[in-house]
Amino acid sequence: MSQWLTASLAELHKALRSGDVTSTELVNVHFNQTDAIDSSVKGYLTLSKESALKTAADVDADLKAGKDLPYLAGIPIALKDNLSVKNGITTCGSQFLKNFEAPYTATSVQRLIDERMPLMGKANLDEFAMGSSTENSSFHTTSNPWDLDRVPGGSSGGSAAVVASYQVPVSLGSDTGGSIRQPAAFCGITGLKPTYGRVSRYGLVAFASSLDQIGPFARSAEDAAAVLNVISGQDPADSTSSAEPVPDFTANLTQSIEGLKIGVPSVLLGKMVSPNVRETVLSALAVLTDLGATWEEVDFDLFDYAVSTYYILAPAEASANLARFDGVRYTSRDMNAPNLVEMYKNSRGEGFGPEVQRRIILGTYVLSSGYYDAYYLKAQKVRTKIKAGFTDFFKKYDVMITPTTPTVAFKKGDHASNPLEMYLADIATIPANMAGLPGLSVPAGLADDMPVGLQILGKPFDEETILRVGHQFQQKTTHHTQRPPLEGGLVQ
Amino acid sequence: MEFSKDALDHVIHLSHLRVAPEKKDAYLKQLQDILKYMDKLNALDLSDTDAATHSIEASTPLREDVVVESGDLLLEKNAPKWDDHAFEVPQILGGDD
Repeated sequence: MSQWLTASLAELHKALRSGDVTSTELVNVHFNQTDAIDSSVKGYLTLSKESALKTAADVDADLKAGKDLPYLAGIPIALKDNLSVKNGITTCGSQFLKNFEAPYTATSVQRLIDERMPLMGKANLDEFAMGSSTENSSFHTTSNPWDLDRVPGGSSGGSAAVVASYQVPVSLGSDTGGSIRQPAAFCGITGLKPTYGRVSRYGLVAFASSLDQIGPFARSAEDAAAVLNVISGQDPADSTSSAEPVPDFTANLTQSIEGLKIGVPSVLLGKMVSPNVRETVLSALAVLTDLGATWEEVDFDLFDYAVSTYYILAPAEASANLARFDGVRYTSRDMNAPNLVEMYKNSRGEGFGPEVQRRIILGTYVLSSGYYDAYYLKAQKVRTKIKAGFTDFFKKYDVMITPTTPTVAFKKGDHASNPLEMYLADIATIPANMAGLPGLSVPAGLADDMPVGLQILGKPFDEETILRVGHQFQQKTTHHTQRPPLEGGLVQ
Repeated sequence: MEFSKDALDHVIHLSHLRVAPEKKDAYLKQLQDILKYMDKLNALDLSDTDAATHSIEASTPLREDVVVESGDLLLEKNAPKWDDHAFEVPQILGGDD
């Protein structure tokens, strides 16, 4: 079994500098793992072997020449396929964009390129990031490495699955209502949604512009922090990116959490969460208590309104963002349409899958004349209440902790005919997007042999604290090092 | 207010979508269930609450008014049909719509 597949980023950095391993070897051993395992996991949509090996070879030459390179240089990473890479195909998991060649590279990705990290490939996702299982991908469904009959979560299910099955040590995903944190929980890895504005959205194909954020998947909070260091920072190309200074997110991880005050919404320890998830989260809270933190239950009933608010606001924004895919300019078109409007309708009807169509319809309806006040305006007001609720909460507590998801990963097809059931699974993750807060999911243990995620939410721009809590938890537990029972195991 | 078949047809038209009849029946029921669930929000008193359009309060940063080259936007490459620096599309009027 190759030690390089399970090494931390710090270990890989050290090994590259000491010459114990080359970047080319790292890239090859990870692609070998892909050859061994991805025919069953199906996390990737496309691989970029040639360019990854070219980046690796250049890094190796510069290391041999004694040049000073960025911290994560030579370490492979995968990207969710709604992140544009210049001259590469960016599909967003959709037939509409199956031939779309991006004309520019996303800023977050360019920062990884500038860091000299080999880009290994594009990972599968729910179409246009709309979904919680990756079953809405128009290409194929990704499997959960812990149980191939179960979903990896979504929408960044591919990005989570390739990290959880050791095909890469880290990857990027995007999170609009939980699409990093939920798949991280389902796949037993660490996932971070930064504060809104912490990471530039330039080059991320937009789903809901007031909610979307890019963030890392990793096998530890420390590794997630290292990637966050690379991708964060204001970007002139994204006017919603924040001028907030970017600290070194790895610098204070070892600081104690003695005295940290944790609030846990009672509603997320109650009947909407399965008993085995609740027990796992309570055990995790006991570990944090041993580390010197204190916790108590709080009333935070606004979680009850999160799903209904989100599924008005997000589809409304999506209906506007996806209006551009009209058959005029983004590759796909019904070439036989007799007039312009028929062309729009047929192209969009053929190019979009059912969930995307459903959300566009829902979004258009809640914005339409006669319904705007009853739905969209109302939801915007509830959003104000949710933001105010968190502001009050953080006057008393340092972090909020919840289960990331009400259940462990469900079986494929479980929610296929009932989208509302699927939406209700996002109840714990959605509020952080509404209020723009940073959120981390870390593995908290197993229930019925499947991973359970612990979600840690922080104040705006306080990724340092939630990463510190995650890191301290991972110093005291081994849940994040547990491996799925991979058929084929780990390659030599 | 129940979401009706007529409302669905109207919104499909506004959305510039084409939906097969058998899918429409499924969508209607699913969307009715989703919209009914949203009635939950009626329990809240929002009379003194402003609408939030952003998650984080921030002001738009300004920059100098200088032209920055955007490079080749691959317009022709990604165009389904291209004719002399323009996207070629069907006539606006005519046909079934």
